[in-house]
Order: sequence, then C-alpha cells, then structure tokens
Amino acid sequence: MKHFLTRLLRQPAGAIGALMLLAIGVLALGAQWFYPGDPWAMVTDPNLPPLSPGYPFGTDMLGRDVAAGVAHGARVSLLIGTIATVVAVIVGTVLGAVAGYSGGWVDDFIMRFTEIFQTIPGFLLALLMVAIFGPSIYSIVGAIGVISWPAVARLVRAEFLSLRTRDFVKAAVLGGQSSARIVFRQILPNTLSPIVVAASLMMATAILLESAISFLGLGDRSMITWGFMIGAGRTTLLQSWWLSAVPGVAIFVTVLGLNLLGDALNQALSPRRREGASA
Amino acid sequence: MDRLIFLARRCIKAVLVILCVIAINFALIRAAPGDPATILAGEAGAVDAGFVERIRQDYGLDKPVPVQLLTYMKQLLTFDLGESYREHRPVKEIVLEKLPATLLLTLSAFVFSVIVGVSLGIAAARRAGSLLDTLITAGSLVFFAMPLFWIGLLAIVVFSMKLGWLPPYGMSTVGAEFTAWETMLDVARHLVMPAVTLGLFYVAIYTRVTRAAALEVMDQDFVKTARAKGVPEGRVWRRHILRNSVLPVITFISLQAGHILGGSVLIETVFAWPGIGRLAFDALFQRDYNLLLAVFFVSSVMVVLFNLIADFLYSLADPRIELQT
Amino acid sequence: MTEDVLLHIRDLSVALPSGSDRAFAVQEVSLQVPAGQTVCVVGESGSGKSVMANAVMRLLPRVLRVKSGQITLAGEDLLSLDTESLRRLRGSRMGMIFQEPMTALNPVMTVGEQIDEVLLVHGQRDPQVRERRVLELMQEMSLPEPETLRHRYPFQLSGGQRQRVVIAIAMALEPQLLIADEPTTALDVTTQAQILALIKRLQTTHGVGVLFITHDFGVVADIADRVVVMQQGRVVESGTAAQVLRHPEHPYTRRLIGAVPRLRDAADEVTAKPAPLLQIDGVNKSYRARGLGLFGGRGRTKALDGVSLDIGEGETVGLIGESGSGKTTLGQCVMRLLDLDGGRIVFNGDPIQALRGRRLKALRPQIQMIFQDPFASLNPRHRVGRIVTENAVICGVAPAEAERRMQEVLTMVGLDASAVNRFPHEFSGGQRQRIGIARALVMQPRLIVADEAVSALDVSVQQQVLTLLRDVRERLGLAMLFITHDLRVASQICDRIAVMHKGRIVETGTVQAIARAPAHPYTRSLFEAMPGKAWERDTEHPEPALA
Repeated sequence: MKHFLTRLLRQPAGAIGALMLLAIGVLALGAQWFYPGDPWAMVTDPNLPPLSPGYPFGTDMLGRDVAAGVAHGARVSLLIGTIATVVAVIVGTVLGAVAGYSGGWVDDFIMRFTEIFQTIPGFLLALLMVAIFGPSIYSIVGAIGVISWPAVARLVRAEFLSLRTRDFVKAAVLGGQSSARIVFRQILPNTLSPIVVAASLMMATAILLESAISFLGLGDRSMITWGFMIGAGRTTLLQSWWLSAVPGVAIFVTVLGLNLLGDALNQALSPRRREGASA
Repeated sequence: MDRLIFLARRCIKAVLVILCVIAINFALIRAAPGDPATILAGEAGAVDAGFVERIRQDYGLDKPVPVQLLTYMKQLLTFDLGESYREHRPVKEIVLEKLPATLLLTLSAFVFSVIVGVSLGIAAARRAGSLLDTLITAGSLVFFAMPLFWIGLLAIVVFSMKLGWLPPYGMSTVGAEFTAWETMLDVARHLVMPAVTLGLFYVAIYTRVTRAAALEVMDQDFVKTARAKGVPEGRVWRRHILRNSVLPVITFISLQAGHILGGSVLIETVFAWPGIGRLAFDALFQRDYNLLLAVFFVSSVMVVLFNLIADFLYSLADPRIELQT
Repeated sequence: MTEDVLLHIRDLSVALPSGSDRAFAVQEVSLQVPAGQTVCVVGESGSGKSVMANAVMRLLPRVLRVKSGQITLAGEDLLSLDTESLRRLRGSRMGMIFQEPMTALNPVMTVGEQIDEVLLVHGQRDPQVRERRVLELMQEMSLPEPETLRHRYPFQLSGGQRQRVVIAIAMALEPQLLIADEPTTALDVTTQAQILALIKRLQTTHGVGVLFITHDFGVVADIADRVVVMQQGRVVESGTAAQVLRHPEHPYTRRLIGAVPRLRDAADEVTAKPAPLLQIDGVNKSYRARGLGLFGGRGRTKALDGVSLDIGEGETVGLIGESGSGKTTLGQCVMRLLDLDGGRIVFNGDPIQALRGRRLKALRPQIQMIFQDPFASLNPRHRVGRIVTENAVICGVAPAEAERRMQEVLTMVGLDASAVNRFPHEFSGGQRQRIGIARALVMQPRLIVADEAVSALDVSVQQQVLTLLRDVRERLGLAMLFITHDLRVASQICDRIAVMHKGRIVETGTVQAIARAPAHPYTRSLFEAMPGKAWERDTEHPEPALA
C-alpha cells in the first residue's frame, strides 16, 4: 500500500491532483467552520469586488458572501459527485460483469441495452428526468447515475471477456468453484484497477453534469451549488463578473484535480512491464 | 455485399433505438408524479382545463396502458408531437423551425473539434515525451476540466464586453437589412464564439483519444515491418499508423454525438442562440414537458442518423467488417 | 580461405533501462555473417539475441540504446549513418522478417499493396513494372493464385501464407543480407519446414547472407553454416555448425544441447495392457462458424469427428497434432470444460459427459489439468498458498489436511516452503509451471491432462519439468493425457501416442513403432517435417551433458 502511494505521488500529475483535491476537500469539510451559518444570508454591502478586506471573493448584488457560497457549494458538489459515481459504478459493474461472464444472448441483450443508453443524448435525458421528477438531490443523483453507467458497463464487460478465457479461471472451474465464486473471488479483484481509474474520471464528469443542471435552474433549491451561482451571476455579468467566474474556478480546480489523479492512478496501477532483454 | 449486410444490421438497430427512446419518453410520463395528462399539458394545464381534456382524448389516456403506448408510438413515428398551447400551432413546426440553427452550431463545433483535436493528438503522439506533447496534453486536460457554460460566459465577458470584437448574443443582428452575402457574414460572426466554445471541450477529448490510439498503433509489429522496408517516416505515419488509428477514433467520435447535442443546450442558453437547445431551456422554464419530450425525441433521431453515417464511414475504412457480429 | 564478410558486428553493447535485472541487453557481442552463408544465433529467452538482430537495422525501441560497438554491412558503417541513408539501405540491401505473421502486416492494406510499397519507396516509379515484379515475387514464394491473392487482406491469409508475403517483401529488391528473427516459431511444424526450405532455396538462388535467430537446435542443425550461442547478453561460443553442434566446448552450450529432447529409445516392451481408466468413445463436437448473413452461420466446423481413445491406469498417452487438429478441444472435453455433441466419455467405469452439479463437483478432484502458459494460469492477485490449496478446500478437503498436502507437494515439485506467501509475478516461468503442477497434484487426481504443458518453456527448463513430471507420475501412479505438437517431447514421457488431424485420430501406437513405419500420410508428413533429423541421427551418443 505504501509502495503504491509512493508510486502515485511520485508522478507530478498525482501529486498536483491530490493536492487540489485535498484543498477542495478541506474547504468542503470545514465549510461550517470557516463560514458558519447560512451561506444565503446577507452579510454585508452588495457588489464588493474580490480581494475586498474580509471577503476574498467579493459579494453579490444582495450582499451575500461569495466565498461562503463556494465553501458550502463544495459540499454539495462533492456529495452529489460521489453518490452518483457510486451508483453508476455499481450498476455498471454488475451489468458489465454479467454480460462479460455469461456471453451468448445475455451478453447481446445487455449490450444492446447499454448501446441504446450510450447513443441517446444523455444530458437531455438527465434534464428530462430532473424536470419531470422535480429538482431534488435524489433526482439529480439518479439522473446522473442513469446516464453514466454505460461507460462503466462497457469497461467491465471488456475486462471480464478477456479474463474469462484465461487459464487461471479454467483452473478454478476445474477446482469445482461455482460461477459466483469465480466472478467475485477470481475475476473481480483483477478488474478493480481499471474500475477505480474510471470511477475517478466519472466523478469529474458527474460534478460537471451537476453544475450544468444547476446552472440551468434545475438544481435542488434548498442547497447552494456552484452551478447555481454561475447561473445567478449571468444577469450582472458585465458589472460583477466575479460572481460567475469564481465558482467556475472552483469547479475547474476540482475536476482538474480528479482528472490528474485519475491519470496518475492509471499509471500507478497498471502492471509494470519490464523492458528487459527480449529473447 | 458484406458491407450491405453490415449496414442493414445497423439500420435495424437504429430503428430499435428510436423505438426505445419513445418507450423511455412514455415511461417517464407515466412514472412522473401526477396525472399524465396534466404532465403533458404542462403549465398551460393549470390554466385551461379544456386543454387538459383535449390531451386526454388525443393521447387516449383513458384507455389501457398498452394501447396508450401504441398510440404514443404511432404519434411520434409520424412526427405528431402535439400542439403548443402558447403558440397555437403544432410542436412539430416549432421544433423544425429551430432545428437548422442547432444543426449549424453543432456541425460547426463538431468539424472544428475533429480537425483541431485529431491534429493535435497526432502531433502529440508523434513527438511523445517532448515539450510539445506535454503542452498539448496539459492543455487538453485544462480545457476538459472547464464547464462549457462557464467558458462561454467568460468568452462573452472578454471578447464582447471588454474587447468588443464579437457579438455576444443571438444568431444575427436584429433589425439589420443585409444582402444575402452580408447576412451570411453576419451569421458567421455570431457563430464564432458559440461554436468555438462548444468545440473546445471536445477538442480536448479528441486530442486525448487520438493520441492514445496513435500511441498504441505505433507499438505494433507492422509499423516495424514498414520501417524495415525502408518506408520513409512520413509515409509510415500516413499509410500505416494513421490509417489504423482512425478506426478507434471514428468509433469514439460517433459515441460522442449525443453528448454534443446536450452541450448545445448549455451553449444556446448562454449565447441566446435560437436553436432547439434554447427551446429545451425555455420548455424547462415554462414547465412545458411535452415540448421537452419533443426536443429529446428529435435530438435522438438526429443522433441515430449521425451514427448511421459514422458506421458507414467506418465500414469504408475497415476491410475486416465481415467479422463484426 | 578468405570469405567475403557481409555483416560484421564488433563489440556491440546495448544498454537496458535502469531498474532492469541487468545492465546490458547485449554486451560486447561480436559475430560475422559471410556472404551467401547462414549464421544461426541460438539462445534461450533473455539471451539478447533478438535485441542484437534489431540493432543491425536500428529498429530498437527508444528505451534500448546502443552504448558502443560497430556494425558494418559490406564495409559500410551502419551505426553512424544518417536517417535517410539508413532508410535507403533498409529493404534494398538488407531485409528483415519477424516472428508473428499475424501482426507483421498492416491490416488495412492488401498484401499486394504492401509488397508494391517496398518497390515504390525505393524508386521504382512505373506501376506496371512494379505490378509485374509483385506477381513474380509471389510466384517465387509459392503463393497460390497470385493474381487474386494480391488483392486480399492479411486477415484472409493463413499464417504460413502471411509469412511468405513478409519474405517476399524482404526479398523484393534482392538484398545482400536477410535477418530473420524467429520467423518460424509461431508456425506449425509442417509449415515451418516449408518456410525453411523456401529460405534455403532463396539463399542458393540469390546468394543472400542470412542471419537467423532461433531457440530451436533442430532448425539450427538443418540450415546453419555457422552457429553463435548467446547467454545473458554475451556470446559464449561460435564456430561452424559442425563444430558447435557435434563438439560443443562451452558448458552452457553442452547443457543446452543435452537438454534438447530426442526421439527416445523407449523399449518396445509389450507390457500387459493396463485396465482402462478413461475411455473416449466416438466423441463429436462442432462449432458454429462465425459467418455472414443476417442470420449468421456459414455452417458448422467439426472440431472432433468420431474420436475414440483409451487411457489405462498409470499410462501416459500423448495426443499429437498441429493447430486446428482438435487436440485442445478433446482435452477440454475430457476435463468437462466443454460439452459433447455426441459420443461418450467413461471414467473409471462411469460415463461423465452428462454429469452436472454435485456429481460433477465430486468428479473434479480426480481429473486435473496443467496449462500451457505459465503466466496466465495463475491468478496474479492471489498468493501461491491460496492458489495451491483453494480448489482442494472447495472440494471438501479440511484446511489443515490441505495445508499438509501442499507442503508435501511443494517439496515434490522442488519449491521452497517460503513460496507460499509470495505472488506469482515473483517467480520465473519454470517455477510457475511447477506451482501449476502442485495445484493439480494437491487434489490427488488419478488422471492429469497436460495441455502443451512445456511448450512455452525454454529448452533447459523444459527438460527439468519433463523430468519432474516423470518422477511424479511414477511416484503417484498417475495416468496422463499429454497434449503436444512436438513428437520429440512426447517421446520423452508417453507410453503411447495418438496422432490427430482435422478432428480425427489417424494413428496410434508407441513413438518408436510409428517413427519406424508411419502408416498414415499425415503422420509421415509430421515426421518428415521434424527439424534436425540428420543431426539427431549422426549424434546418437552426444558428449555427456554437464547437469
């Protein structure tokens, strides 16, 4: 484990990514501590520009602290991002594993199903779902999960297909192991690395999706999110450009951090191929 | 012959996808809390009870569910998308009116992103490990992390408000009297920011995918054979590496088609571009679910058609197509 | 005798990237290829022979750098050439062919175009002249129907045909030097014989010098004028073929040659036929071919066609065949990894082809398998201890008892008890194969199916594993179904062999009986294609090998 962490952090991408995420994570966890109370509360003069004393990111037209909004918004984004990713990964892994391991018509059927979900314009479907079921944290998480699982399913299926024919799986069959046991104890541990990498990239996408949904006004009204702040800042774009700009930077840092970490994970987890003298 | 069979299979699949989309629409309407007729009537339903009743009749909502599904399917397949209460005309008309604007935007963005993205990806792969490669890879990571709508807003602030180079909103200058040529130029000026903004995100993605595909092909034996033959490096790249990298890239790009239509909702909203994405946003605002469903349906049809074209191109590029399931 | 030296490699050293198990892939290697002669470079995996061959054409991957040395082709210094001059030499004065015919050709270009390309890039502008030459070359390489074949894509050709195309490309401009990097290793033995004959013919007709990399001494014996032996990046011995093959001096060479399996002089004892443990009776199995058409199916290929075979208690029966013969399929049917379409398999008196569920699970411990690829047959995420005992425990053996058996078996296969806590990637190929054998033995089976169990191993390791298998078999009274494509390997361990061809068994008997008088034409062709027969015959009593 320690060996793995060293490998991960020795890469510049890994170190920078981890650092970025750490910053956002601290902000999210400590939001209540840094900016206690309600971020919607009006605290001071409106339209203060960034770097005003005490208000590093300025205030909006109602005198609300942008920095507080960013901090509290971090919680929501990370929360939604994580849950949606977990949902998508679980659904995708199960379907992909069943398809990849069973083969035959089960595989065909699941793959057709997956392809359909991958082809249709996902974002529109997500909007549709959130609109029809009413904007709430549940519908948003559900919608993002529904459009994200196909990528995981494809990946897991490909892994299972290739591992299923390996000799060590055959050996397990010859040892009388049941299919369930083989899937969980033999094959799945070997697919964890690609899944983890995919999950980190998926979380980045989930956060982008969530911010887009909130930007369009379909976010959960009880929570302040970065997307919503950007949308709300549109009306005063010329005068108070920082209202839209700052939350965007927060999104950027989070997503970039996740992507960098995902790339670094990929490098750290892939089997090190020795370029030794080949025969 | 094999190619025809391949395409025939893809056509059947396309039809299946469309039927599924219709089924999804139907499922959503029924799964939503409340009376389906009210959902379909939307905001207007609260105002006009007669409208709600008419909808109940037209969609046969008092009949058993399977009949409803069939009625709905028949309607959508004949492009009967219902009637707009607000504008007193068929939704189909409204959607088809706005469709060309979206097509202009998305196709421009698409062409831009493919050309720039693939070129950058190849340049990066060719000089893998060099400074250029690092810059290109870093650049693509950065643009991939920025929310589309945010880049759009920033672009407006910088290029329209601060620098005044490009018009911030709409597809054409309102009220101006232009000749045909001048109108085209005007539209082009309005098109630049939205198309480039929409395209930048995909440039980042295509760069990464192309680079990865090229790197993988570069390692293969037949590339070594080509060099051992004395083929000059340029030709090795064009005829051997590129020709084989293009296949996974085409596959990937066609998967992304649905994505780009989703992105157009955001961009059309930010830049007030009069397309179906903007229509979708308005529909959200007005709680006009029927219109929203219609936009979703039409977008799906567009994507399916696009995929068919992409499949056709792929079949031209890959002689092994017979071996596809 | 002054020979014209065509290729001269002097003190070549190629460095490995830091973190590898040694500093140099190739260290201070010198060799010469005289014009018109064949020089074979032979060694096991990790010897650096392939790296050296690639270095001549400067086709090494970027991580491997030439540290020092000189390579001259007909006097011209190759290492100091600029890119353009090197490019002009490649393909025209020196040609190269590689190991894997499947991947050596561009999948989206027709084979005709690829041969045409080498002519085009070296200045032949006239398309008609090129076309004529392409057809000429294809004829010379004995490719069928060149006029139609040249419009086909590589995936439509067989492995042997693809290799001929690769040779055609390499020979198109009549180079002085042909470098061949294990060109026949991935081919069937009959195809191999044809390709070797082709290369020999080309050498006589065109006077080309050949640098031939291989690990197979039989091949060396058949085609080499000179032999160079490499170990761990260095040349340990070199000389004429007669010298090295018949009077090897270096201990490593002797060890290698001693480990090469020979058609054994198994005594023609007529022992009492043991009671049959496994009876394969009229077995059929076909696969639906992946075809075209909306409704699939171009017809069915018969993998097994009425196969019958008996294996007695404690007997080892070899199943010999090339790829596509059905031998692997038969092995999998015996293991109940595949279902039959017809016929019966009877084990210990009970038919097993239709067993399911608990009864199938009860059967499992009695028939076990050893696999071909030591790298794919062990779960990389599990420790050795778990790999060896897991199956036994699942089949009802108490964990403590399984532990005990494992210790016993590990000693038997020659592995240290500390192996239990390590992961597969920490072991060599030969050691992993031992772990695989241990896994099978722990179940206390009565029959072992060995599917090309030694084919992926270096020749010295192969000898060790075969000895191990013989020992274990004696001690435990095991019966074995030994699947292989190599007649000599089979003769090391099998009491009887059955030759398979296109899903049928065409001949059975002891190895020596069949060798003396092969009845079936296919068997005859197998024996004829075996490389190194003359060498084997003439060196009946080789120098005593130092163990």
